[in-house]
Amino acid sequence: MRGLLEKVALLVGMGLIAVLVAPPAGATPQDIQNDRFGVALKAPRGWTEIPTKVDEQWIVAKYLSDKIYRYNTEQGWTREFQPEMTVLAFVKAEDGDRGAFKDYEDYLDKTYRSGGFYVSDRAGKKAGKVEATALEITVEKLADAPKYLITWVYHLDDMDVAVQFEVLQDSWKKLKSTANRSFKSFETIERKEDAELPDQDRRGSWISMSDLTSGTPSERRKARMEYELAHREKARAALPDDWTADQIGSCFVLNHTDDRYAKKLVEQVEAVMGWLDDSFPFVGPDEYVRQPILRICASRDEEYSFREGGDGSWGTGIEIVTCRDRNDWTDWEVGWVNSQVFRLWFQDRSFPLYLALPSWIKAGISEQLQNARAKGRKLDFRQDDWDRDRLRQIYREGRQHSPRNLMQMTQEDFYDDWENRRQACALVDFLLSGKSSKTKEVLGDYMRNVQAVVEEIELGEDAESLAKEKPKTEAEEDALYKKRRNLWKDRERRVLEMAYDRTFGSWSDRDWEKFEKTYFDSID
Amino acid sequence: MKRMRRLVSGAFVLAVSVTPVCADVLCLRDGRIYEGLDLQHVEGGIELAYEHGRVFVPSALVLHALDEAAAPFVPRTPEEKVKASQGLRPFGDEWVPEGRLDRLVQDQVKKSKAALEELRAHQDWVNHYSEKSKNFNFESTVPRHIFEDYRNKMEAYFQTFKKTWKIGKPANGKLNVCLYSKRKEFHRTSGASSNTLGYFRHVPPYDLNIYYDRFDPTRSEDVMFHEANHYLQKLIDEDFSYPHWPGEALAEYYGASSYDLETKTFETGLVQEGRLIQIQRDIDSGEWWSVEKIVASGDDSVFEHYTWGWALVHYLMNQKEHEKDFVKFFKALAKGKDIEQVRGAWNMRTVRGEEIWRAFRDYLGLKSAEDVRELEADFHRYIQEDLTVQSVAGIEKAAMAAYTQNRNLRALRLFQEAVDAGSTNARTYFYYGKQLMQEGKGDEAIAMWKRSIELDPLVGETWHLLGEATHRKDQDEGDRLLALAREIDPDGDFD
Repeated sequence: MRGLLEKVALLVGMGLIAVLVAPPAGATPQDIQNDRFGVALKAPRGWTEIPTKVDEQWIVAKYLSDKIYRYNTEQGWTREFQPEMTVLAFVKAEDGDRGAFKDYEDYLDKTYRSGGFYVSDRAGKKAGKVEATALEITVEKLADAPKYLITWVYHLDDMDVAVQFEVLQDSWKKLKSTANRSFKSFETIERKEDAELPDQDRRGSWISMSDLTSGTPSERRKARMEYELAHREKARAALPDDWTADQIGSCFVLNHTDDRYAKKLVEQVEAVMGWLDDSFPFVGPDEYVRQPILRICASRDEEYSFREGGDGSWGTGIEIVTCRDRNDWTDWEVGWVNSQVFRLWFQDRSFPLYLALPSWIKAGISEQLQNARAKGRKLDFRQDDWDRDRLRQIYREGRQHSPRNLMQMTQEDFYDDWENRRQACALVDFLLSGKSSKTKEVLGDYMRNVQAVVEEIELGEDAESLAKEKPKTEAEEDALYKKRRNLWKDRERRVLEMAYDRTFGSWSDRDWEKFEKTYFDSID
Repeated sequence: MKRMRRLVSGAFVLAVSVTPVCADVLCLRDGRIYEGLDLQHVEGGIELAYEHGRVFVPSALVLHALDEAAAPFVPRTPEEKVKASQGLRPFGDEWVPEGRLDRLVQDQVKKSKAALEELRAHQDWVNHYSEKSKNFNFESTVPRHIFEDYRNKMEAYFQTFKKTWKIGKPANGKLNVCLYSKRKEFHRTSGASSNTLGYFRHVPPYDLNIYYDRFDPTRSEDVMFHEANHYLQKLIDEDFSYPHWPGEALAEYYGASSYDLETKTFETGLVQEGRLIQIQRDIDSGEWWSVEKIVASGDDSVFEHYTWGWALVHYLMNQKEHEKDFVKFFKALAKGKDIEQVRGAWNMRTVRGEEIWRAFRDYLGLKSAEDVRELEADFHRYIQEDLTVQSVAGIEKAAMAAYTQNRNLRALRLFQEAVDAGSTNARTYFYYGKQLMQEGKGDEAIAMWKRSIELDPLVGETWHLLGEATHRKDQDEGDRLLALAREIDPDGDFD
């Protein structure tokens, strides 16, 4: 009993002590504590943290609501929206300049794309000792639904920090207390001693393709591997706690879903890479292809939230952003991943060839890959039923293009009719299938010829040299203008004609008839 | 310096002997407001005193000029001395007893301040003007006198279109017409992209958003008439979406309309000189568009529908033998029982390219390929012979097109033609100066920029270019002009 009493006394004593040293009510730790910018505040309860992009310079933190709100349009459609909270910092440079964005409103002017807006109210506020401006910004014209951006802009000595809530107008009343809790919790904290504030001088601190494609193959390899490493480290550092960052196979995966799905996607990426290696071995065989970073968001809304706003950088595309979509769009997402792998592979193996690839090949391969699924390490090319039916209808209506015609279309003509993509896909599929002995090697030969022509074409009259010409009369100037205006079109036509002639120069009309018959029969 | 107190063509110039606090305010006719300046009344206008120089603003540009720290009246001429000895003082065009002067002046100060406050108060979208007219609802931040002109033009436009096209009342309410005085505010509030000057929201609630560009009000009007035409086309059948051609082409046709505020007459069928210049550029490059190519591509968003497409509509609407048939064809696309329609975007009825072409041939009576060739030949002849760039504004547009295309010799010739034709567009002289500078003709460039400043004295960028050019020969003067440019436009991006 004495022992028990002693224990109780001890516990009470500890409880008392605990009460005495417990922090005052309401002073719970801040959810957002950023020691780079020296700011802290509470995030809305239950909202999901969204990672920031690599090289992000303005967005400090982002959160997505757990709840979906709805709005009914005049036309009777229902729009869904998940409110967002974004924290942004606008740093003053030593000369007082603010870099790419003068202030928060300038940032909105240059980056906000969800509708037209105007400041409907403005008031001075305070959070503790920090002066702030509270803005009510109304979003109406060209918006999916009427919204507010409710923002407090805190004015610190060397920066402005904006805490912005984007909400449907209808739901602002319900969310007001949530937002106010965050606004009023804002405080400054000690900055990390060696913290470097971002250089916000320009938008999009990306490395250009020319940085990654100049020099010798081994110099390029080195530059690309360095870029890969740097990008991974930055991406990892910017991840919220509930994401993982792991090397899975040949991909670096930033994951906010389950491991099983991530592994399935990596398998898909590797199967596409393998197929490209096998199908086009002659394209840049000595080139290093950067390993993709797969960023898998938990949902489509999370993906959209990640993509919005910020530095406007497009990077050089080793990050493939996708999501685990639970609304039967998974097939489309996998098709998207495939197309991004195709782009990355071709750009790194031969950027000039990628740029010069005729539309029918680029679109044809891209469409092929939309429906390709990994089967072990191989790719299984499925045909989409709807696409097949559309093709049959085109042929029934006599609107099909002959392969000869398709292969000689300029980009402008090709994209004039969206159905050309389907036809290009059918043609590429036929050529890759090797159904005709004559055409087994055609696609490879054709692409090798395109590559050779691109390397050969002497751009003696290229844009740079045309720019240096100084005409003496208006007639000379008009002729030069015509040349300049048609330069790229002419170049494209030459590539198409020369590649075609080199590949099919020896084909007779009879050869073409046989080929086209086999080809059109294969579609039925 | 003679002090002038007079009402000058709509501008109110006021000087008051009150407590000498520098609260002078200048409001220009195009809506710009300048405050905290020291302004003085001089012959022909107002002079602004900046730290780095004085800037003369002609009276024609001034709407209100409030000078609260004017010096007391000092008679100079014999007539003035006589009046002063009679105890009279000048007020506007009158002479009034000194005892009454203060009260009159105070009343005018009050009215002027109120007018300026009103202008300032409505410059931000949150406080825009709202007004209803017979056929439209207006929201606007442009100055009242500009807004009223636009309102009257829109009403006249509606009546003119109604007469030809027999349109009815809108089932979904009047069109909301929004006019913006500042470019940044226009893009921000309307959500329009950076290369758009106006747009029409084609599903209810209908909404028209137009940027009033004080540098080029004619273009703003053109855009307003063009975009409003999409609304008027809607009134033929609100469930129908006109294909790109002839929809955009007809909008371009009406875009080149003009309303005379004095005679109250609305004129249509004028030449879209900017578009004609683009067609001529195509022809220079060896590109000709056939009638079939224009019409059969009607369901695609093809840029040439605004140029060649406009020219075709212009041709058809200006040929007696074709005008009625074209109007019938246009209306039939929406309402004709013989037209094969499909459902398009927003689930609206529309027509595909092939069917547009079929209907076009049918309604225009083109029974054979030969008929089509004949029409086309005449159409091409019309472009080459009947459509010409004649007005000063048209020459200016051609000059600007050449300038942006780096066709320097052509630009120089056309800019000079515009000057010789009596251009009073400050921007024309501004760009002519830049073109000349590019050619190494510094002195001539300086002359053009000085002329630009005479026409529009408060554009910081022009002063900046003048300062840079002057700096090469006279560093001190150049520095002064550069500093003055910064005073006039502290936020200007001159680099």
